[in-house]
Amino acid sequence: MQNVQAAERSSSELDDIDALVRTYRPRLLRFVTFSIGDADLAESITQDCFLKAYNGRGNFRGDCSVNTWLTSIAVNLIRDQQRLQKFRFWRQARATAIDVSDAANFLASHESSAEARILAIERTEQVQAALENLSVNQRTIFLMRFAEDMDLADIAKTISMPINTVKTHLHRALKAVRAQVGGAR
Amino acid sequence: MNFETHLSEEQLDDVLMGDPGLEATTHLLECAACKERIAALEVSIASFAAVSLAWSERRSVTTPPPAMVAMGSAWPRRMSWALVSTCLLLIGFAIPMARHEEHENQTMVANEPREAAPSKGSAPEQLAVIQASGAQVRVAVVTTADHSADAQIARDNRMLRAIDRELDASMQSPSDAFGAMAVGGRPNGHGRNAPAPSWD
Repeated sequence: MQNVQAAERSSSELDDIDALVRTYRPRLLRFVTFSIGDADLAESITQDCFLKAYNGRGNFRGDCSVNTWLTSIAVNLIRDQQRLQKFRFWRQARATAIDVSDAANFLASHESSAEARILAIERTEQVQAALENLSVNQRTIFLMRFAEDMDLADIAKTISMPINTVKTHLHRALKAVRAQVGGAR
Repeated sequence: MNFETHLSEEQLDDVLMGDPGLEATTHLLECAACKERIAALEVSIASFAAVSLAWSERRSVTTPPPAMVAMGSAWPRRMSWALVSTCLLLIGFAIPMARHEEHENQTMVANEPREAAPSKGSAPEQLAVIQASGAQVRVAVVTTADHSADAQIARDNRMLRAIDRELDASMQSPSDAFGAMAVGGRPNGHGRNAPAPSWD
């Protein structure tokens, strides 16, 4: 009964495309941007993702949250993009850089002191640098776990991967992050 | 596990992943060093999550997405673009094809009268037949052009014949008045029919 109600609530949420975009765009844009490392391309993929979700809202069964569903669509679009890049002869020489340095000014009030902002930026850049050296799968899984707060079972289901493989990717990602953060200290 | 042996990296990762074993959970209750290691990484990851979200929110505000209404109405717009593109393509193909066909018609018509002219009779008759079809008006022009070409040839022939007559041996050359002779012994100029001189 609760599932049915949740599904109805979610599908009505999907009907209002403007509200859907307002609510989920920042999270989805972050996920896509830090997965592929190109801010402009991420904008395009995020937009495609919402369009795909809106057109396919009838297929949403309500067995996961809307955010998880949108993330799974985004994962598929990112995979398509990667596949496309593989066969592209003229690879983009330099992706649109992601500069988070001024984003700390917009953090919540508890981190609004100058020192806290500087520290936050420093830590963010360390993690970002570690992510850049990971494979797309490792990055995506890391972001799903630590940015989207998805549990391992959800991640495994979303990307159709055995849970042990998900764990292996996460171990590698965390190792890289630990090396970067620990090395910088 | 005692405090001499801290959690391995894999165990630390398991804790961060939210899947700690019983052993790691027990160890963390007692070991401040391992707790600190985990906290350091958690803080970094939390900072990354917060700052990256702030970045994304800011970007969403500064570069707002295209209105979803517009996205919804994108299909008719795309369809109209597709239609316009198809029309342009068709026109692009049609014009060269029409030109090619026209050229072929002209070539065919230009060849036809020369072969058919002797058997078909006079030019007015040809014109009458040709004018029956509006598309073949050009044929009349071509035929007329043929006739003018024939007349030109006839004029040229007449002129050549006149020149031949002028060059005829019966006419005296002005140089004959001076008794000049050609090297070959023939009177200089136009004495083609003059008898060869004797050197005896």
